[in-house]
Amino acid sequence: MTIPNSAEIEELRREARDLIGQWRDAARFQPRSDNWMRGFDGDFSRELAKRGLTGLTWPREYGGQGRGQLARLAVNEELLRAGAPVAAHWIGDRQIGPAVMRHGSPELRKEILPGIAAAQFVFCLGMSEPDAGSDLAAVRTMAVPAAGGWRVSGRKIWTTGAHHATHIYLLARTQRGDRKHEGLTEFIVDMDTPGVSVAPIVDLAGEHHFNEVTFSDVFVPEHRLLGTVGGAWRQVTEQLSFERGGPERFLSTYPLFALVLEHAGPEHRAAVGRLVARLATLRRLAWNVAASLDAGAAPIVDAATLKYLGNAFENDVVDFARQTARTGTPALAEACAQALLASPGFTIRGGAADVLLSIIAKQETRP
Amino acid sequence: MSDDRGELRRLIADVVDGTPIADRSSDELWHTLRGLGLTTVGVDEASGGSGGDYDDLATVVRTLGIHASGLPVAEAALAAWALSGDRAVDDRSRIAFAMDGGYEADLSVLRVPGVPWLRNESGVVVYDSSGSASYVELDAPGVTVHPEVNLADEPRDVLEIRGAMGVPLESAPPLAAARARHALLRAAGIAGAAEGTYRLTREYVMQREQFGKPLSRIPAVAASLASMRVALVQLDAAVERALDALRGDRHAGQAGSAAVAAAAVIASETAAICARTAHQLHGAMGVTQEYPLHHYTKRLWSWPGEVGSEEHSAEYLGGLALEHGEATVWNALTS
Repeated sequence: MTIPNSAEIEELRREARDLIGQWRDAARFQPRSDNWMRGFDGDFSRELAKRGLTGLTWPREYGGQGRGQLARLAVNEELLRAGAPVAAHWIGDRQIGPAVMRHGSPELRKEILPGIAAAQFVFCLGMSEPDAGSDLAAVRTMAVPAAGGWRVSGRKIWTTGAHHATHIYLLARTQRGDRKHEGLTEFIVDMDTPGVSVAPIVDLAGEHHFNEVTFSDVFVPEHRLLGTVGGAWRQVTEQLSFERGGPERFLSTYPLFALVLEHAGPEHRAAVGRLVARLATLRRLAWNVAASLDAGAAPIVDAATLKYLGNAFENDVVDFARQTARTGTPALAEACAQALLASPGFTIRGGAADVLLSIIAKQETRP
Repeated sequence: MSDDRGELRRLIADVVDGTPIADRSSDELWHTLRGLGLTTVGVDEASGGSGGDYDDLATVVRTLGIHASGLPVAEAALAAWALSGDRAVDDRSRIAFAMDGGYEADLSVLRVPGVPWLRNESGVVVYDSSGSASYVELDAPGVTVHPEVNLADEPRDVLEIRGAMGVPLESAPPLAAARARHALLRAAGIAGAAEGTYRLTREYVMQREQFGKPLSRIPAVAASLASMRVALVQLDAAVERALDALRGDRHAGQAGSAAVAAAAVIASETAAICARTAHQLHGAMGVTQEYPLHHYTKRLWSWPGEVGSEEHSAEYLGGLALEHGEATVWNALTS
């Protein structure tokens, strides 16, 4: 395969590096592992947007840049490499924008997409519930028809960034029945709608990223319905496969890996070499996934493989760093501890490792 | 032999599928492959080769691996490639390929272990560890072939040369390029054998019933099968990446050699995972002489260490990373 428009892609990469360099040199952010989820800085996201480094893949008429997935990969991998604070736009840019492009009405696209591309709209994901984790189809939050729209009641949990968000993507049940994959519908809800409340869940690092979001008879206007009534299962699984195949699935601990390269000694050559071999291969897989998406394919197995192997790599970086940290600097020890405390989430969010294997097996054992 | 690699794969599958799995390393099949020009892929037609490029050759080697054939197409084609600057080659040439020979202390004896199928050939292209390449006739005085085999019963003979080193090959490609190409073809062969192992295993767990249903319906079995698939996807990505790197770096400087080393490390891991998991999923069925699985797994156990050890590849790659630092590693990943 040849790389399309490689000059265009390298120019974007340079722009991303320039901005990252300016902010880092001015100490406007500290590189950290897992900062695509933990590092929230609306100013930084809006600065990226101003320079055309968000909304890269959707059309210009909706505020996007009309470029391909390979361009998006180049920009995002530079942000992850730097451990930059990108949580403010990451979820909207990665999966809500593309979902609205695919399933939204023209009005909904016009209403939502430019706001995401400009990093003015901050999205969180209302998927998981207390009784619906890996088994997402078990959601109970109900949306019932009302004059001019729907009324929603229920509870969502593990909602990252809900306390910063302007909008929530909501997966709700519009019909009860025996077949739990049917009767699900997607909505986009303003976080300031009366009846939406947010309660923090502090994680084991002592940080506040997760929340519980409660919907108490919340009105959602008809035009905020995404796609078809009762047809959300197919839409959401598609959205999740987009969510899985990106570089944040193996680069969450890259800032730590970069530090390790400075501290490891000659006795660590083989161990470092094995990590580099895996990292290089993962990056190639991410490139393959991006190229497949650009070609209009749905690389389900490749994306699940990338996430499965990528998360294992992220954890192995932490394990290796802990060995070298014993003789390293306090900065390395601190970076190591920070990544370690973030690490349990890697193999859970976006599809637990065990679920990914079952997705791959299902694809592979179709008669 | 241009870009239609699908056609190339079908051609090989057609030829090999007609041969029982235990005979896919036979002289007869070797003659057929030679007759089809598959042993000189990647050498220009003007130099007596079959044309095509190195990527075509990797496809041939990978496809033979899928069908559990261990015939030394990689070595024959590399020998022809190394010779072609100095002399004409043809499909009837019977030339082995020997890498990284070491001299004994007094420099009078050159010894190269593990040369594939040397006993069947009439000559050999030899690279010594200093990088000099030469062509040696096997019936010349002072040349001895000691037969040895690997776990898969494939000839891996010891070449011993006392005294003169045959005809120097002035136009032979540099040692690093020969090493990288050889190692990557081995990784491609492993990718093929791993895929063949996977296909056999997938078919088995989908057909074999226990507890009243196919094995593949047991979640732990399905997850094991998926973990094989994961390993295969990873290895194919590593091999593709290294093929791209060598295409842009014909003499295998650092970029090409590093990408090949990465593929070799991944190949070793994939081979181990696939062999172990395939046997586990086959249960006792997989351990008989009669059942075809061992034709694959013995190769997966043999091939990874034969062209440079995994440890050496990992150390080389890690050494480069530590020497040059993060920015260089990153550029190599993303270029």
